[in-house]
Amino acid sequence: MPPSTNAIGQRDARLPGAAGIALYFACYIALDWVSLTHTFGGLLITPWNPPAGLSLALLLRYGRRFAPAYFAAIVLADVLFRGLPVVPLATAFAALAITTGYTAAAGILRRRLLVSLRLDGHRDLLWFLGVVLVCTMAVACIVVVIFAAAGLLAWSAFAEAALHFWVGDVIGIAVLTPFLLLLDRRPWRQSMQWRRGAEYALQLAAIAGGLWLIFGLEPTDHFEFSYVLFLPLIWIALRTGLKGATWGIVATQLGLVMAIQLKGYDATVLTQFQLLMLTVAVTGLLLGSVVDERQRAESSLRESEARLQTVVSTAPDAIFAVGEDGIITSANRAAEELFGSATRRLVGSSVESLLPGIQPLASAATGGGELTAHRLDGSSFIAELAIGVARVDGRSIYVAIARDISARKQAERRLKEHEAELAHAARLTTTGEMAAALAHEINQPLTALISFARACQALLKAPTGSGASTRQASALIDQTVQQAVRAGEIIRRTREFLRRGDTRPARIALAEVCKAVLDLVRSEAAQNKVSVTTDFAGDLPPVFADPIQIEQVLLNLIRNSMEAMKGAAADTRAIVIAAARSSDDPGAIEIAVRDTGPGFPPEMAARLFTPFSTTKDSGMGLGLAISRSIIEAHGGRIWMNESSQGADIRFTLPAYTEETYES
Amino acid sequence: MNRKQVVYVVDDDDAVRQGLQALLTVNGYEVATFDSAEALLENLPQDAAGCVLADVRMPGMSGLELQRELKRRRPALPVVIITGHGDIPMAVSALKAGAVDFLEKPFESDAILGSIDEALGRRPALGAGPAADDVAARVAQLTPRERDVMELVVAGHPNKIIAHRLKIALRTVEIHRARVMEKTGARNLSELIRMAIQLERSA
Repeated sequence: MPPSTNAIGQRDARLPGAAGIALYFACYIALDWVSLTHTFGGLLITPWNPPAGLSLALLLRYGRRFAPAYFAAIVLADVLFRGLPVVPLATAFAALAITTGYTAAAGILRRRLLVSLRLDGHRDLLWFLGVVLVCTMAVACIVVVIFAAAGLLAWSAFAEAALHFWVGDVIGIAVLTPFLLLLDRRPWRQSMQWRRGAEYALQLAAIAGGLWLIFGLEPTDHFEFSYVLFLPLIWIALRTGLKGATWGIVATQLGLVMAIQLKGYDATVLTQFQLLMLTVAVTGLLLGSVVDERQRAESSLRESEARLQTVVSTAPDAIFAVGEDGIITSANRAAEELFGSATRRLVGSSVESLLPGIQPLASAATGGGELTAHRLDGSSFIAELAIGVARVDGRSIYVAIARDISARKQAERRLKEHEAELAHAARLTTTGEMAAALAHEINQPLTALISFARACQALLKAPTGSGASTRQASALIDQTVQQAVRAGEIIRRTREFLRRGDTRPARIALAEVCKAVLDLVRSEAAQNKVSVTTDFAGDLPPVFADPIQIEQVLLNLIRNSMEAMKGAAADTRAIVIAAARSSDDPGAIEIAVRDTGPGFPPEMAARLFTPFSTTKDSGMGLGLAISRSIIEAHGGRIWMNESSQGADIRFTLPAYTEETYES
Repeated sequence: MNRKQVVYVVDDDDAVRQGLQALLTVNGYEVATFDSAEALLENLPQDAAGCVLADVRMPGMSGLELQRELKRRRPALPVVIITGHGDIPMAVSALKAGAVDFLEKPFESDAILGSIDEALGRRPALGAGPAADDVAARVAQLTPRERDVMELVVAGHPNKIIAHRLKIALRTVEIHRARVMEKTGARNLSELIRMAIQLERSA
């Protein structure tokens, strides 16, 4: 598409050179000569004025710099065809008025009104026609006034002359200017497709046929069949748009002029036909323009649709559209892959069967969420959804974008589990390390103690019971006792450390602490086939305690229970963590950890909370002792409920009140 | 020659040192105590005779490092290792490196005195003792599976790992292990390890 004439932005298109101007003059004179056949009173006034059309097209293109050439052409043609006019000044004034009028029209159109010089859109076309009608009217009046004033016309013929002039110029412009504006530099490139060539020939034949119908049938009134001229033009406009319409209009006009010429009708008849031609031309132009607009809209719609289609089909996420009835109307390839199976297709399936619970999400303003999705083969995954709603003709179309985030969720869960395992391990390590350190610490005084005692014993057994050896034995016993005291000191220090051990009581919900502990023991419980459940009273107030330490206590108790139940039948292994307000102390919460194991042997029951007393093969016997230290540090107590069948360890913690917090 | 045999006690814990000194002195031994391996190496007389009783966990050089150092400098000086936090692999490595015994704290006086007597009374070269043939005879009584268990036990593996390695039940390992102790006559793990080492050397 040649760019030279199609953009209004190219205001300073280079003026044609001398050759160009000469060509213009030649064309002007040729067109003038063609249209000269029916002059009005031998003046400049012709029934149709194609030179005006040519000149306006060039004025639109080159701007007012072209005006002098136009002026020169008018004068030149006048001199050529009408000889030196009687009143040269009148001719000059008339030429000036015509030049000025159309230069102004071109200026107005270029500056303010036209989007492009190719009259794109019916808005441009209407502005063009409107401005042309008004300006030609003004020019017609002024020129006729000049002629009348010069005495070339009778004032009585003013109206008729002005009408002739006006129609002649309007038709000249309406026929030729759009044609020229839309004329490509190399028109044959597009027009000369042989497939379309036949259609063009038929269209031309239709125009000829119409003209024959009007003029060929002798006895008829010439206007009787004039409407048939619309039909070929409508056909052309529908098929080829504005550009085709301009060609059709030019062809019809030429045919009309030739027919009138052949028939030898006078100017009046031609003028009457020109009014008809004007209607035909305007209709053809507007229809062509609308057809163009629709084609452009369609093609841009097709383009954007194709673009969207490409985006949708190549998107890695599943995208599908759902109608108001919940049936999937379209889906991209990713959606087929995500949901589809070999046997059933996604389109036509109910969205609710794939994504149960999607409807509240779609109606909510959240625009998406996470859902468990079901594939057509019945397997499921976790989907992340984004949902958009489009309202078209009063109906809603839902577009959902879904992504399988099972892997991400799984990774998150694994990470969480891993963290929980780490926390678990850290806790156990702390306890284990402390136990090992404690054992090592106590071993030292015990080793010394045994040595001192045995040395003393050996000394006392010796036959020489002198005073010196008695003093020595006494000193050894002293040292033995000192080491026993040292061992006791280590135990006391350890318990003190546990009791003090950075207790940070806070307002905590037992349910949360329990949940944390259950998370820690879940895998272990599953492995040991133990069910761990909670039984919390409904009105449970928060407690005032250090969550980490309470977790430690619960962890100890649950692990003890799990180990104790290893010998029990797998289907009976159960641990219940119960919590309720204490019946003895209304300010305390009583927590019980019960199991269905064998319970404690009677000889253990008495020293359950004493350090290093254990029923386990591998164990330090510190768990319950540490637990007691922790619970007592919180101002609670811990005991064993003897009435229970299995083990039932209970402890209390202070309920959280405002006073607790203040103290 | 004929220099008096001395028990060199190396332990960083004052009370343990004093207690051992009292016990050994009362029982007629010559005792010298040191609070670190470095102090012993520095003050050990050129012609020192007797044995060394060393704790494993000490600031500076550990008891096992001391044992290696002594083996290089004074191969004739036997070493008894005592520890407050021993494990089997450590015991095995100490015994393999030539320690006379490996005792876990707290130990009874009989155990430590027995070990010291053994250390003082025996020849430095191991494996030539009259017990070697006896040990071989006892071990020969073991079934192949019991030998497997014994090998893994003296390599320092806990029962659980042994069960897994041999693909047998934990309980079975325990039974085998008891049989091994019974047939070899080892009173404890330390003795069993020593027997295994002795057997290895004579083989």
